[in-house]
Amino acid sequence: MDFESPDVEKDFPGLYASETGRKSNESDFSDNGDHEKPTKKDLLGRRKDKKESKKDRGYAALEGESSPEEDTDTKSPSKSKKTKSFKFPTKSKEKREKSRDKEKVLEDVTKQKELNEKEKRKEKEREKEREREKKEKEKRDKLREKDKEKEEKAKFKLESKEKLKDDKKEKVKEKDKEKVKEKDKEKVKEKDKDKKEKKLTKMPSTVTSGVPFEEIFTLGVALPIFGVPLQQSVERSRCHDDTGLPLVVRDSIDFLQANGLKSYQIYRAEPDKIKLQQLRKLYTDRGPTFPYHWDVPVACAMLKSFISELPESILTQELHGQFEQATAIAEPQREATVVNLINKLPSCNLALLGWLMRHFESVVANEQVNHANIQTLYAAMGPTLGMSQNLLSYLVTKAEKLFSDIHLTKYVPPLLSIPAEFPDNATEISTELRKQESLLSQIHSEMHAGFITAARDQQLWEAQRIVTQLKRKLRSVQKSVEPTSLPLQQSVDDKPEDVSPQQPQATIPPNETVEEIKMQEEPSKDLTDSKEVVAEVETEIPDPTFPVDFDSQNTEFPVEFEDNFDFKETKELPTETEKEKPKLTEKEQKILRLQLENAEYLQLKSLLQAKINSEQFEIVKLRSHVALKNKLEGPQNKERENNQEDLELKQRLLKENAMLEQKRLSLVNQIFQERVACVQLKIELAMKEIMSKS
Amino acid sequence: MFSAIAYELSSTFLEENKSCVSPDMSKKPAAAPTLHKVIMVGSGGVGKSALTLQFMYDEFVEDYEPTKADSYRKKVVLDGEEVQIDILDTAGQEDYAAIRDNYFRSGEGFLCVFSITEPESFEATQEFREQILRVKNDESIPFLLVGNKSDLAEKRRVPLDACRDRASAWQVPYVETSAKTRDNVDKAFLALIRAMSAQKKGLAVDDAEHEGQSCAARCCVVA
Repeated sequence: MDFESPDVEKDFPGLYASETGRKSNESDFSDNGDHEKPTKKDLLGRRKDKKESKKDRGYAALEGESSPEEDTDTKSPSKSKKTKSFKFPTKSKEKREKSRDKEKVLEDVTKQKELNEKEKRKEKEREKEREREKKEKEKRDKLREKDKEKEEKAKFKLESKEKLKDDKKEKVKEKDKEKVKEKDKEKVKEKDKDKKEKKLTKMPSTVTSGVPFEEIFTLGVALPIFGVPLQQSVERSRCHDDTGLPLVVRDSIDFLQANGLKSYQIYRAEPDKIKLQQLRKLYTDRGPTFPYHWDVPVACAMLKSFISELPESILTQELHGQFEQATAIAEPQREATVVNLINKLPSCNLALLGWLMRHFESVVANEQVNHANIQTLYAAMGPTLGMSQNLLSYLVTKAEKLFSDIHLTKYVPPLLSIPAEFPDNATEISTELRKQESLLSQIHSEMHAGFITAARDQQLWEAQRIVTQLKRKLRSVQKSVEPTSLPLQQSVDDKPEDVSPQQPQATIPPNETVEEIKMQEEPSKDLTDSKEVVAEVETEIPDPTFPVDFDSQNTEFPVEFEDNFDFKETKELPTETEKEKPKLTEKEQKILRLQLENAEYLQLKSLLQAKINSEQFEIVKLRSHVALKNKLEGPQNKERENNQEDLELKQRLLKENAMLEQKRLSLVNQIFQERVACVQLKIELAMKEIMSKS
Repeated sequence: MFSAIAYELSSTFLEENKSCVSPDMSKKPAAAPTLHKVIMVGSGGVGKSALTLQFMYDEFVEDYEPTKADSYRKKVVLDGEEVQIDILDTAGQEDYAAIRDNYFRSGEGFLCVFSITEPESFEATQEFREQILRVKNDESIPFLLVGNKSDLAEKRRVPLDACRDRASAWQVPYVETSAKTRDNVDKAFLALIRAMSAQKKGLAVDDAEHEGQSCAARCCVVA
């Protein structure tokens, strides 16, 4: 259990790297076929070999990803292997239990057992799911077989040719061929995708007949966003505001712009590896991220890893050389040449490059505070970007001119549910509408790729509902702007149109309005919240833990509160207002509700803060324990290291820890959501009591 | 170590969650009424959107604008019980068939609409029915055949008997509505919702049939 502590890491510096590698591999079941791969690829000659080993290293950091090349490999003949490797964890678990009982490493064995039992149950479920997955995969594989055959033929040809050539020639030609090959593969993949989609739309029943296979074959695994061509990554996880940036990049830049510019750590400090991995996993699974995961080094590392895993330079293979050459040109022509080259870039590359350079520009502009200059940036990002220092510094210093239409604005994601009041002006409505439609089309395409879950269904309906409401609103706004251009027809249509937006509230019986408001309140808060966060984030550096969102509420509803806010007190607030005006109007109800909500969230915040504090204390305590033990048992440990069985045990434990970690993450998410639901229910209860009193 | 902490953390969280949820739990059913997902299907221009808007907002829009997809939510009191319904208004045009499929999967009840003035739309219902059954893979899925535009009786081109025959062949109720006059609009929706909640409660078969008959009987009176 103690292996992840940093102290151990110091003692065994090599351990951590392999540990993270294994962790990520284990966290993702479909990657298991991987272990066989190097042997297969050994046949492909020396240079290939090198490439492969690089890949594997990349893989260690990858977690749940697979580059196009590996993707096809894992899907090839290794299916039977897969099922074998699935049994691994359960076996190891039994052994692990035994060994633990013997050694009595932990005093709370009972707790662990409970946990393990849960694990086992889940494990069984998973195995069932895996069987289903296998079936699903077989279907998919049939589709791919044709393409694979082609691919394999191509590979075979390559191999045979390679063997015939000398080393020098080989190197030159292979480069070209690999380019071609990679392109081919991309094409093949895209064809695959198309076929898959077609098939799925033709035979929807096959998809629905089984359990939705998202749980088994996750979206993140099938449609990764790391290590794929930029275009694909953008399609799969994009910002819905037409910037054409992958969400990861946008979030990272947003965070750094808000919190990192004045930080000495920017593009300098090493990130917390665990946080980085968790964040990466969340993005891969398209899940929501939490403020907890974000800090300056992590955000930098996130950007860096995303870019470094792109299969192609962000300046594109064709233009990269020309960019480099352009830096050598004398000034009057240089700018024109570079502008010309920039305009040749595909739109998503242009967006990414522009955003990065504008961001770097603002980093360097704060050199006085953060002591980061071009050299710092180059040291951190130069190799990743594959740019020479000349080029990078040119692009950064000229960023404002070169990318004049790019402005670093904080991303406001599309609304998640219908707010109480939509924006009133037509342009705001249409921007939101565009975001929603972009979101909607993404959901549709994910579903067409076969990822259908109850949650996604819900999201789909919700988004569709927002679109519908926005359209209605837009129509009514537009009609009121251009009054009665077609007097006769309009008068018929106008009445219902104008009334309709308020109608749902106005016509519902009183006890329903409560519900209605509640339903609409939450999202509106979300919206204001996110805006608040932006505002706040710029003024102060929030502590990187959970309650950042809640902090923002303080600014919005200034209600006095104590740290241990009691539920009774929250009720006093409303009763006071109630005495003044026994019958509450709708507006008052809203205010009341917001007050209650505020109080609840404050309470939750202080509770969570207390938890975090105690947790941190616990961590410190445990760490000191570990350090002590390490000192005492130092020599013994070394002996154990040599023991093979212990090594194996360690590896298994590491794997399991990785799994537990994942489960923990999902649990935390769940808890968070339930918390919110809980707060809503409490408010509901309080509101009803108040209503009944009045 | 990490997982041990994680375990403690999550367990304490869960405990607290339980403690704070449990008093509210009794209230929960009232707070979250059952949600039924209704899907409108049928050829283009038969009045799916008109029916939906009439039901949702009591409004009738003259000008025709093809729908891509629209979704609405409404609370309805049905037999003293409050239920929430999500209505998805789909596109009649084949251009949007791919989008439609995603919704069919999550639909729990279907209003299959045609225009009594348009035999082609009546024919098309057959295909929609098949498509739905293919996706849902369930013969007893709550389903209503709706002949719309009953206000245009003088332009009627689909005989009532043909409609009834098809409905009985499918063992589904048949209703004739007019989105313009709001005739039978609520009835059509409520009948479907009733069938859906009956099926969800597990009383499915008997009630649905009963419902179907009584509805059919009512329709005869109306027609």
